[in-house]
Amino acid sequence: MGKGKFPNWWGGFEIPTGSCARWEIGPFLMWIQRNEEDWTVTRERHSDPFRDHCEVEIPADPPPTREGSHTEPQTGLHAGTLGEPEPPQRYAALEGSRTVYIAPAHADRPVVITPEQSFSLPPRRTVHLFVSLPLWLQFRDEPGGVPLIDDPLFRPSDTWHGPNTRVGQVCYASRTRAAFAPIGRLPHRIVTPFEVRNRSEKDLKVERIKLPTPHLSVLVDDDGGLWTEAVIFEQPAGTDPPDVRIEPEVMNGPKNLELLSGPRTRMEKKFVWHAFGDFFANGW
Amino acid sequence: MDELLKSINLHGVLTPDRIAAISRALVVLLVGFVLARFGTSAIGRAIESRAGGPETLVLRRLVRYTLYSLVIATAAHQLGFNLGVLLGAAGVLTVALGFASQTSASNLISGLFLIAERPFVVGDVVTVESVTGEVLSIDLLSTKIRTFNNLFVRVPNEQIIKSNVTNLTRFPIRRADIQIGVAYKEDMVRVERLLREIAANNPLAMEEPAPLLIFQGFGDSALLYQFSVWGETAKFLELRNSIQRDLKRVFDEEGIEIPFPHRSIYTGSVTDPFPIRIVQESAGPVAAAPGSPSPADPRPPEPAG
Repeated sequence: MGKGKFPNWWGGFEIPTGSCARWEIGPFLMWIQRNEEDWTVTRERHSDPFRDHCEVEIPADPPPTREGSHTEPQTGLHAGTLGEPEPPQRYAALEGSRTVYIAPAHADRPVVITPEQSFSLPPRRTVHLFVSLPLWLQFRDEPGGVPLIDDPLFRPSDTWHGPNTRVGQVCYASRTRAAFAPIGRLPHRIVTPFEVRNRSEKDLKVERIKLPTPHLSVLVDDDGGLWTEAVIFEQPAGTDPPDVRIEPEVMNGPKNLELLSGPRTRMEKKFVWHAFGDFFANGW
Repeated sequence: MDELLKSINLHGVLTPDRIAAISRALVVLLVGFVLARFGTSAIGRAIESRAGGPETLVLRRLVRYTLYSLVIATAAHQLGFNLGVLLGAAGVLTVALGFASQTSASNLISGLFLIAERPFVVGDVVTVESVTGEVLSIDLLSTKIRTFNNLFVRVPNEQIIKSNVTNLTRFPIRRADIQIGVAYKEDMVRVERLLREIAANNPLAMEEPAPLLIFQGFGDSALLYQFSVWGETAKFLELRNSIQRDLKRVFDEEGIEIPFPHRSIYTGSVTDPFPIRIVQESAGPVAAAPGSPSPADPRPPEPAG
């Protein structure tokens, strides 16, 4: 159990045979049943992306059987298409394994954040910002094994990042306030501090920023808050593309951080220059 | 030996020189084919490492047949054939064959153009005239396509070169254009806001490029819109289905009417008015227009006019 606002939903949890465990992490609900030979996983999603409830229950009642085609009444515009029921999935269990390992992970693609209000950075200035990013959940039945489930806790919208519709990369989109101070916690999101340095002689307009999320780790502070390493964007003088670095320290954030999950992919310097040359998009 | 040749009446034909020539030709053929096979593999590997794709297969075949032709020509030379005469005859034969196989030659040349131009590669989903499916192979004469209902279609390369080819999977993102009509009574500003919110709430609909909303005009029965959303090509069908499902659901929830075609029917001044029948639930006096059946009469009214 974490000391902070929400209980820790990650770690190892023992589920005896014939029992069920239940996770409720923001808009994401999951039941894991340990049967004789398999794990049965049932998932549901609330339609509110800002739901801040977090609960882990072991043992728990088995998932309710829903009648009709929807897991919950879908009303208004905020009922997303992923609110539809997902059929339970069974995974052959490791013999003798009674423990599930739940871990937070980053998105499997870069996340393009769009500040609600774009801002300009005058020449030779630096700004520190905090954004919250969507988290994924990984479920394993052996430590370090292949995840049986690797799912977003709330599926962000897709977006495209590139100079035109032929060249670019499919990313996830996230609207953010891009706050100048640490932001409030949600159990299904992670905070990334980043710094933008403008070394050029021109204003740098920050409209959309592609964060290299698959290269970031998940860190946890003493209160159970989830953080990533800091990301530094530096616009050099001249016409060179921005330099992107991942700093192991979390700037302006908590100091005692423990590593929960490593990055999905390691960042290579060459890769950074070629793949992340266009961080500051200027619209279409 | 002489006895044997005499016995099969080949004494004048198979002289020792000829036997030596035939032996040399056989050796050339044997060694040549083996070398040609090795050469084709080596050249094929070199091409594959540099180019890859469907042209590798065709280039390998081209190299193989060229080498085989050289081997056969060399063997023929060993047998004493005059290659100049042979080539001359081959030229005449080629012209004759060319006339006879214009279509095949055209397909062959079209195939080479296709390989050079690369409008699609194996695995792409293309539409050629009325055929849509996945490209299985691009050969010298034809391109093989598997349609989505699992039919095998052989399209001659000449036809592909001549007609419009649409590659549906060339680019990583695609736009789904949805045509929609709403009733004339609806508030257009509200409808447009709802459409934008539907796109914003569908995770498969891309935020950038932003969804596009085009008012198409005043239709016969509805205000016509084109609602265009971008999505990943690999999830195109999922996007198109889900966005239309969302659209119907939200319009139903918000009371926006998607109208059926409306028809206003006028009888005109030269026709009699339509018969009108007034039916009351409770038993009471019933007023009927002249010519219309009484409520007790189940027969349909006579057609007007």
